[in-house]
Amino acid sequence: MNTGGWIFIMMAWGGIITLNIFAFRKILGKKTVNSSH
Amino acid sequence: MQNNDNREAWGTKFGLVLALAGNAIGLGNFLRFPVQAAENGGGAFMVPYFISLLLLGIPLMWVELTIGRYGGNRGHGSTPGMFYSLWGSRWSKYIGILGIFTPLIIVIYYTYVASWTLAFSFFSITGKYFGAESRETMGAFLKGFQGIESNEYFSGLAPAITFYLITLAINVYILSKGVSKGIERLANIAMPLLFIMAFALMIRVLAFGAPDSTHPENNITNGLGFIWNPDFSQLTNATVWLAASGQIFFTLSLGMGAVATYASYMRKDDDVATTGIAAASTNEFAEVMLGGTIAIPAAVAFFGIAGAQEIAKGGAFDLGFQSLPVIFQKIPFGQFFGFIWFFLLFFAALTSSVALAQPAMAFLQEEFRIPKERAAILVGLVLFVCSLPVVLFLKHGFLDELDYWAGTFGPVLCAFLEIIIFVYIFGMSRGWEEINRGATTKIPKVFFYIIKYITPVFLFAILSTWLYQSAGDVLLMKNVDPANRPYVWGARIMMAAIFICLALLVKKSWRMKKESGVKVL
Repeated sequence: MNTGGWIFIMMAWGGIITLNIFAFRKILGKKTVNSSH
Repeated sequence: MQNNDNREAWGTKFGLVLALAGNAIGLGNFLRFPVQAAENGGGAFMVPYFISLLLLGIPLMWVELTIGRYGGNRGHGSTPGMFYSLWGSRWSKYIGILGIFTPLIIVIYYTYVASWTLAFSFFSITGKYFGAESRETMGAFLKGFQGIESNEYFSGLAPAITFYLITLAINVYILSKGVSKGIERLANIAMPLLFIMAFALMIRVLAFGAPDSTHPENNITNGLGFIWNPDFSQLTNATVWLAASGQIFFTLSLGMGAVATYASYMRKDDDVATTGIAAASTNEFAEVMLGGTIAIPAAVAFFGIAGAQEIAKGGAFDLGFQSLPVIFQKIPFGQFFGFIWFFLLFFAALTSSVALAQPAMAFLQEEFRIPKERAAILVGLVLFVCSLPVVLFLKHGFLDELDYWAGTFGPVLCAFLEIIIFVYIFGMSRGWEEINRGATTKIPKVFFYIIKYITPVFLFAILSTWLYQSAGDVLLMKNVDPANRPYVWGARIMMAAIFICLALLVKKSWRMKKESGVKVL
């Protein structure tokens, strides 16, 4: 794999992991669907 | 669990996200994505891919979740009722049929394909295909199983039909248990297991190194390079952009009615914005990180770059059902890893197939007041009857015809119509308010304009290009063997009959409500 490949894989994996952490921190912050009611 | 209108509801927010991710994560994540990436510019493919995710995937996911939640709070779990809630025109409910028709046609053949993965996981653990050590002999094994040819491995369709009936029964059982106790419970069990299995396979593949010491260039690093090394010249190629946006569209299972149906079991103020991002990002995790690291890199390590190119051209089934089983026969504990690979695919397919069947379930339950157990049996019977020609006439292109219209064209058309209704009839200002209701994540205002202008144009571009490029040839059966044309006509007649039946059912349901004085919201 060339340098461009490593850069792209790092960027894609990094972006996806960041997005997952952001979303699931929000989701798990609220316990249930009904907790807002 | 029930919500305000005695409709079912998701037990937990996490369960909803897993169910939505389960809907999105399917065979395409592990088979279609790596092939698409390798064939369309490698790392450079990820540029249009992520741009499409941002401009098409996530906005459309929000729109579908919002339409679903809005319709669900008015007692509609399927798109005829949802579109009627948004528009109120007598035609809206008929346009909404697409959101039941498309997933129903897909699930007719998808359940059969899912049963192949269950069968192959069984054949892996029992070692049935061990001995078929080349791609050609594995191809013969697969064709024998599918009944395309009679050979030393299979002489009839009995094994395929047995595994199909088992898969169908599992689907019907899950659907009969309802949303919270059936689909959500499945997602809570299947999704973590799916990720564990995918991680185990990913680590095994990464540990391959260079399996053949006489060909050290055939190694995992070069396998990753085959998917990721960017070819920037491909960025000016419209086909690459189309492939990337198509992949985003299908991987998130958009335009199939399933996302809206799942969202209909949300409550009025449940968070659409974060739920959409969480489901999409989980899907991307499975697709880009896991799906991109298993099949194609393994193929490069064992067959070399030239072999992997040939496999990629052969398509997803060549990769999944012919090439990987050859690899499993060459590694220690191959039966175990083969089982893991196919069972992982089975879980991915199962969580998608129940999602695809749920719009029809919701339609029967809510528009005709049929209890979920009876509705599940009814849907199961329809699937069984309609799948018989798929099973029997596979070699005549029956499945391919259903897949073109329902699996490729239908979702894009459905998504295009739903976004037009949402943005230009329901109104973008009201729509934006609905999307942001209960949101714990503030959606940047730029998405207001993306949803209003860019996403519809994007969808129109995909739809019109596909129509221009292939619809004429498909419609006129230009690439169909004349001997197979009666079967293709059979597939079209079946689709037309199902569409007409759904239209009559929608008409009857609205008439029944009118006669009994129920006001449809």
